[in-house]
Amino acid sequence: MKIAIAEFPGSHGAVEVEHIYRRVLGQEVVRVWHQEEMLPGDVDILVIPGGASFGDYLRPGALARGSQIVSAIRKFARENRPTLAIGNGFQILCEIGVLPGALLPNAGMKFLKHDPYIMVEHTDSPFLKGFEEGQVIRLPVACYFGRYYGDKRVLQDLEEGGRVALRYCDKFGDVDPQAPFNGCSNAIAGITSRHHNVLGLMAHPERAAEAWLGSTEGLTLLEGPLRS
Amino acid sequence: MKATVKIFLKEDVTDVAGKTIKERLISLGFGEVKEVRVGKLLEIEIESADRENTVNRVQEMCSRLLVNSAIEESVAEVLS
Repeated sequence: MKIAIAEFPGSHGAVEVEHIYRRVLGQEVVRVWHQEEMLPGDVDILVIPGGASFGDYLRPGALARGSQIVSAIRKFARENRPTLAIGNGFQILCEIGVLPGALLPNAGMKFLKHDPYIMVEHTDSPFLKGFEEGQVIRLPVACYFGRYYGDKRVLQDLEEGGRVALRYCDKFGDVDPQAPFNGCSNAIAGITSRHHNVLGLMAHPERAAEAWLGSTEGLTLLEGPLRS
Repeated sequence: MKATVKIFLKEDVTDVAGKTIKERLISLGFGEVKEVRVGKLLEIEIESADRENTVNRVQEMCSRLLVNSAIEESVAEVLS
């Protein structure tokens, strides 16, 4: 399969994502700069990696709105093709309206880096096919703007549509929506688009994708679309 | 012309920085402080002589880029 990675000035996760898809999974990877107007036509999977695009100025992900590649990203997502948005990529997709809600500074105004427990609640996303519903995994987070926020209407829409695919929990899989570690709404760790082809999450699967890194649960996520 | 745009988090979005600053002000003896909101102030220089058009353009800037209506609200002002 062919994977496109959309890069903005300040995206820094592209190298790791490319490494995993190319070297570990043996796939073809093309990196697409934000000033390109189109993605190559034969791309199967699109990844918007983490980082701090445009210095996180104004709001993280906001200034991506002025980039040419944004309409191609919207189109790819709308065509129900597998799209993965990691960290700052998730913030970008919220800012350009592909996913609802927004990412705010963590409660306590702290940069948080650790490996939270995450419950895989729904496996409709092509990236979650390798997991069982209810499975508890761990993926690293490292961010300041990681608190997912949706207003009542957005949260209701997400919950009723089975779109809260990933939720922070404890090691037993128990979710306390009142007390997620970063203060996010409904303990949301990751959401999908209406048709579940787009997955946005703050955690970094590419940093838990080789045994020597301590976990391969991120690899299971990244290789999800290669399975079907 | 010059425009200013003030951007704040919406009332129902927790303003963690504002809350923290309020608590510190109270602990320094400013017990009269009821609320602190932290936001952004943008000053924008605009080449235009038409005030009404400028007001519309600034509104458009707010909705297309400057303000994320999912979490923020804003007050824009055009100064001549």
